[in-house]
Amino acid sequence: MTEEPVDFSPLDPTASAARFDAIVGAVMRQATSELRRRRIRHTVTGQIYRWRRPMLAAAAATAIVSGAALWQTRSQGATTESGVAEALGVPTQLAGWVRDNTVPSPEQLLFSLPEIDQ
Amino acid sequence: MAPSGPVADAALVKRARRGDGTAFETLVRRHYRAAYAVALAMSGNAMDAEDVCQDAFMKALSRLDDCRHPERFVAWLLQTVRNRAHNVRDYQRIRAGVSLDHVNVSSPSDSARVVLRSELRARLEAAIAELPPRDREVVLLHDLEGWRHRAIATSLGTSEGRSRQHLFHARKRLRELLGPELVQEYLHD
Repeated sequence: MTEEPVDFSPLDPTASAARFDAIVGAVMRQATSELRRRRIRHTVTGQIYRWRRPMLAAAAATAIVSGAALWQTRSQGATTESGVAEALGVPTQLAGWVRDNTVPSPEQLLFSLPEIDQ
Repeated sequence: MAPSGPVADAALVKRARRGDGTAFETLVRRHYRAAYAVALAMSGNAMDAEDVCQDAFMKALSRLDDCRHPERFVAWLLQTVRNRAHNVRDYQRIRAGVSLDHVNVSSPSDSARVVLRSELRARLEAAIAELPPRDREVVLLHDLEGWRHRAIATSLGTSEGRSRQHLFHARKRLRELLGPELVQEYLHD
């Protein structure tokens, strides 16, 4: 099978540089919004905002486990009046969001980080 | 398979995932012709092929995080092209604005060349449409885009032997349809 290749150059979309630039330009114009969305997603604020739900879920799980432990402690005669979260060292701010079932803004999360580190 | 160039496809895909427009444009320029070859094979005409390609690149960009093997981006892209080509009637026509017939026409002799190429293009499209879809895709990937049989076989999920058979049958049929005089016109264009 040693046939010569067929010359498809009349069909080659890249044969004309001007036309091909116009084609690529149309693709890139349509891609603008998606590319912008991806850039925003990969900023620091965007990364933190993406983690808001997993962080709150983790805090809620911690509160539940801690609550169970505290309840057990109280039932064994403990006398402290502190809340579940505060007693076990869960940051007040985080516990408040879980309790109120609110989603903090990226800025609120960022400012609460020093408290979480303590 | 087309060469990956100075920056490999895997690196470009990772940058494009972060919204790097330059990286995405490089991918478009590098793989547009292969995508066009498949789109043309499946749609049968150049205008629909361009629309399919544009739509497929947009779909690929939106789903770029699903490309599990960035080093094999082009194979994943071509599958997207095939999927989009199946829905060619639903696409919107977003024209680039420059038609082949009106590019760089500056003299009567250039006009004649453009007209001749338009006629050749129309006859080629008509001839390609006569081929079975698989033969079309193989001959366009091989003779238009320059892929070797190994890459074609991988892309289509077939063997190199079958790819060669498809190419042989496609070329034979195209010569029957186009005739030797048209082939001679190519050589003297």
